[in-house]
Amino acid sequence: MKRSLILDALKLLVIFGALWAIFTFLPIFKVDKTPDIISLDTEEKMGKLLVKEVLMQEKEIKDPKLDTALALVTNRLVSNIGLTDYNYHFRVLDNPQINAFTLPGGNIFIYSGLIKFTKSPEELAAVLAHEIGHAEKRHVVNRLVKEFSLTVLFSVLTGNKGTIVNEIARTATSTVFDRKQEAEADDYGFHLLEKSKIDPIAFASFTRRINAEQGTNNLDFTILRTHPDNNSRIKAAMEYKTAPGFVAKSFNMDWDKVKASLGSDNDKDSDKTPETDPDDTTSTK
Amino acid sequence: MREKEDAMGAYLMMFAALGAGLPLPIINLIAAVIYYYTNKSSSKFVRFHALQALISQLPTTLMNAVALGWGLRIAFSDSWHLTDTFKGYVAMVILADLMYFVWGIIAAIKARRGHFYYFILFGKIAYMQVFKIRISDDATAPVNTPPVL
Repeated sequence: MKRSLILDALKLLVIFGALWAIFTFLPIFKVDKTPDIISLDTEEKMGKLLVKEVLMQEKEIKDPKLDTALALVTNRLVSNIGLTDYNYHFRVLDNPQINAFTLPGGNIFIYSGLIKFTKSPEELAAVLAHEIGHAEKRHVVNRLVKEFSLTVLFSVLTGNKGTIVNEIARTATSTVFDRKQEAEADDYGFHLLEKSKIDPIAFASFTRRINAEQGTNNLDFTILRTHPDNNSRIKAAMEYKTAPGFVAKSFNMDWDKVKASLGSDNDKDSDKTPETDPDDTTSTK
Repeated sequence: MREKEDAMGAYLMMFAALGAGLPLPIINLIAAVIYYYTNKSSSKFVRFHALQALISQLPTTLMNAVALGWGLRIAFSDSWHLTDTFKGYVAMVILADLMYFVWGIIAAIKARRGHFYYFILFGKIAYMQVFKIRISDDATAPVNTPPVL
């Protein structure tokens, strides 16, 4: 009798355990069903179209000093991504907003306001590593599919453009990812920073300063609207454990001079940022 | 007749309480406990069905509570995220609830007709408890055999 009861209990456990496993791995219950809906080729075409649209509306900054500094930062990150489907392009836009965004196909845009707000190239690298995370995880293209449906996106690519391209570009540049996607991009960014010999603490110092300075001056913190829930992200960056023996490698550049190349309002904005930040010493070690 | 209705009531009471108590998965369990104790002096037939209804919903109640707690953590905690594992779990719990609902209806109909109906595992436990059958291993139980003639 005892054996019979145990057998019945085991049968129930096995049946419901198997059902849980089946439902977990069954494609219809998958949380992310869209990663492979759009091919990389299509994503690249969409990216080109959207980049063109953005550049029609925003002014790109091209400055030798800025380009060299940006190349130093981005090359170090990109060379440590490993295998990737994307050929990354980084562009700086003349816009006072403190924000950066990723478009399909590995196109990453940085607003000049964000560069001016950073206190070191490591902080910029931290933001870019996060954006690379969104690209690598295909968050942007998934978001667009959810917002506009595949039919609309394909109709845009096949020539039926109209005003919808503008609408897609607007969504792509101001999109708010969900917490899971932000956490995924953060986590990817921390690993990429570590591989690139940049201390992930730079991300914490940048985000913490954004939290601290919100509402204290006239800066446009668009990044707060597109990247909510900063406290837990700071905590995650602070708690990220680099491998034993990790030594950060400094960029060795005069970051203030790089920021000065961005324009006249740089000095004004620099005055609004604190002179010292205890985290900065760790982020540049 | 009253006895059959009381036995059937054990299952129907549980469903009514489940509907009233949603989304709190504990209400139906409380209702079943009350029903069992108010019918404790009834016949063994009624007690069996009341006890089977009570203990058979323990696993589903527990599974529903876990799903609710897990869902709330995902909704309100920054470090918990919607995962395929959670979706799979919720789907499994919904299926378990549906299966339990169907078997509960069958048991209620059988009880109304004056029949016993045994759920897997819980039917045996309820039967043993109500009819005071001691669990003993068949291999170690004393065997009384007739004299060899």
